[in-house]
Amino acid sequence: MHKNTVRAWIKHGLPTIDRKRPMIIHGRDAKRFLEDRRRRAKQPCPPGHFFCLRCRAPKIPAGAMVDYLPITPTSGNLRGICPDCHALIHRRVSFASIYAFHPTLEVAFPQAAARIRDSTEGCPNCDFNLEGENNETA
Amino acid sequence: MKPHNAENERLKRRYFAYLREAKRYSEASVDMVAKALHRFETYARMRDFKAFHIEQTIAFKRHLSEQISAQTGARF
Repeated sequence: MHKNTVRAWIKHGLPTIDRKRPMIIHGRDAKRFLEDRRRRAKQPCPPGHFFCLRCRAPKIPAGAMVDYLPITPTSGNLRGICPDCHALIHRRVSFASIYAFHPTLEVAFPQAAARIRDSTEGCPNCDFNLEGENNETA
Repeated sequence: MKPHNAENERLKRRYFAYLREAKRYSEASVDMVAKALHRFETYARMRDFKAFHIEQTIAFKRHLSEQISAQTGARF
C-alpha cells in the first residue's frame, strides 16, 4: 500500500492518535473508517435494477427490455442497455426466478447465439471439473 | 474516559517493535501482549505510563481475580 493512500484517508477523516509525527493510527479507528467507507459505497440494486459500471449506479434498463443469455442450464445473465450512457448492463439471475424478482421487465430469449461458433460459452468455473472428467474417461 | 492515551500508544509501538525484532516474538504473541496491556490501560482509565505506580498493578491483579471466566463461569 502506498503512503499517499493512507495520507488521502487521513485527509478524508481517518483520525490519528495525535498531531505529532510520525503519525500513528489506531487499528480500531482504521477498521471503523474503512468499514464505514465501504458501507457508504455500497449501492444495492432493487429488483428490476442493474448496476451500470460506467455510471456507477443502479439503473432500470432502457425500455425495461432485457435479453436472457443462458450460462448454465439453470442460470444466466440478463442483459439490458443503460438508459443514460447506453452501455450494456448485466445482472446474473437464476432462470426460475426471472419473473419473480424482475416482474417489471420484458425479457426476450434470443434463439440463436450471437457468436460465430453458435454455442453458448460454458461457465469458466467448471473448467477444472470438465478436465477432470475428460481425464477420467480417457 | 479517553479511548486511548497518545503517549502510551507511542511507547507501546516501540515496545511491540522490540518484542518482534529483538525477542523474535510472533505476530500472535505480540497481539496477546497488546491485548493484556490494553486491559491494564482500561482498568487504569488510560492513565499515562509515566504516572505508573506499583500499587496500580497490585490493584489490577486483585481486580482480575474478581472477574468471572466467560468459559467456565468460575472466578479466575
